[in-house]
Amino acid sequence: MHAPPPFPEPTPAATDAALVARWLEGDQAAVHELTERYYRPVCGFLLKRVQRPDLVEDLAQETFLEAVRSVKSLHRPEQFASWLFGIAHNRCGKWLRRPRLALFSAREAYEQVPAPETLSAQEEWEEQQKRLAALEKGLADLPDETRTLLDMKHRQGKTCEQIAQELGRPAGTVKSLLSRAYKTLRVRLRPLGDDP
Amino acid sequence: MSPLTCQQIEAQIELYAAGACDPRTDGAIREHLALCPACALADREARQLIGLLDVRFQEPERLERLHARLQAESQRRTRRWSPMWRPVAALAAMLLLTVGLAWSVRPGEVADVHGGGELAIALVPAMEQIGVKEASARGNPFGPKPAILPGPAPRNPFTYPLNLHGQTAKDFRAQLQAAAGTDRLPPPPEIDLSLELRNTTHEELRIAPLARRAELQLDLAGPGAVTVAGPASDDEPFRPATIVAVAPGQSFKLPIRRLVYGSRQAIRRAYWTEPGDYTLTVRYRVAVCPAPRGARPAEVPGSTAGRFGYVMLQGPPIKLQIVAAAEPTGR
Repeated sequence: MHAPPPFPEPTPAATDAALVARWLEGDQAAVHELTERYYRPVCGFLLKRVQRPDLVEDLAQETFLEAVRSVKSLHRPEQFASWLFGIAHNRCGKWLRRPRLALFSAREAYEQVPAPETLSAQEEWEEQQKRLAALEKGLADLPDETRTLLDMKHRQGKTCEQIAQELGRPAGTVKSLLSRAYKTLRVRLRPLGDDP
Repeated sequence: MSPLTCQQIEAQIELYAAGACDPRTDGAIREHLALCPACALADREARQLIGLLDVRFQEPERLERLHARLQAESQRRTRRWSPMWRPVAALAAMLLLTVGLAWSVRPGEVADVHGGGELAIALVPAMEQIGVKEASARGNPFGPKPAILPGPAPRNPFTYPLNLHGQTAKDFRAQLQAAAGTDRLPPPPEIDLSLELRNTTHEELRIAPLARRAELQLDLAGPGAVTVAGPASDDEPFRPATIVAVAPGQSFKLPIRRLVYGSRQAIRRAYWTEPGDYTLTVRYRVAVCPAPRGARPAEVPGSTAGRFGYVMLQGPPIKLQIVAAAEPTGR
């Protein structure tokens, strides 16, 4: 199983600045390092804003693409995180301001109500760090068997029935194990004091 | 299936968000969510989790695609003025297809980005080669047609009648809301359009409209536009042939006869409920072979050679004029 690397620890802003300096000199390795460092937090932010998991990859690509196009305008490289989240914020705004449908179904209803913009880019970055760290901790506490199921479902894109067939277990058991894991992780992602 | 309680919804909400419920349960949950803010909140929470898990577990593949795209962009910016790098620029143009960028294509036209070829998309009238007046004069050379205004042929081919099925607009909207996701929904408006995908590359492209994650979206916007979940049996957008080969310079046309769209997991219907000017915008996630570099791989049943990848295409909005009229006589 190809487990993704754990979420990186927060790094000092100076390191970002050094990577941006190398980026401006044409060092593609620095670009890769920064994208790998910020990919998950940016995706978490985009997900929170647009509420559409199927759009996150596209919006994240647009965010980083815009960063590549405008990195020369970044005057304070030590604030790279805030700058990048600002770009992500703008991409979300563009998507949320697109011509809308009048919707009745709850599946889409929430798309019409952007999350309140009460957090600064730096605060968003910190919030995403916490959420992703909580997710990692939650995943680490799950049994190996359950993590394997999650990998088959979310990385390999298999249905519960396909997973059940591959593992030789009833589909109901697979769904039950996944459901239990999801509920555990959902609780982990709630901010402290935000119990149902 | 009898209505579900909030406790039953809570028990299954994550599996629902992960697309792991059977179609009947899926429909019952969707109906409940439309009316229950508390469960809708749980649904949002669950979708956040599922989205984060997708990001976390697919990160290596997604980063690989991102790096490929950034590298292509970097090369394009460095070499855009050099004629010898035109093939690379064309490749970069192809990569643009993967992120759902809109480009300016008017109906019947194709885009030409950075001098390279690509797959262009537009909604066009089904009778665009002949024109409405001529089609009218010849009778109906295109087979059964949806209802268009009775009387003289309209000059604008995108004019359609308002049909509230004998109800007021308010009552009609209430009916749509109450029947969302069920077979009790009234039939969606009929239209007479084609989705045209034009291959402007120099090689044959194969298109698989039936790939698992294919999704057609018809965004209707206007004074009385309403979109609701359609019944799961409403699979009209996914009936075309499995794989279509499109030669360079040629087009593939997918008839759009009703305002039904979505993915296999979520069918939707759009309605107009007031007269006035509307816009209709098409987005189409479709599997294409050869896959543009960086595109998400697509599993295509029946494909024996070549790798398919998903591209997201978006056409320009077209204008529709909806007019209050007597019930159409049909043709």
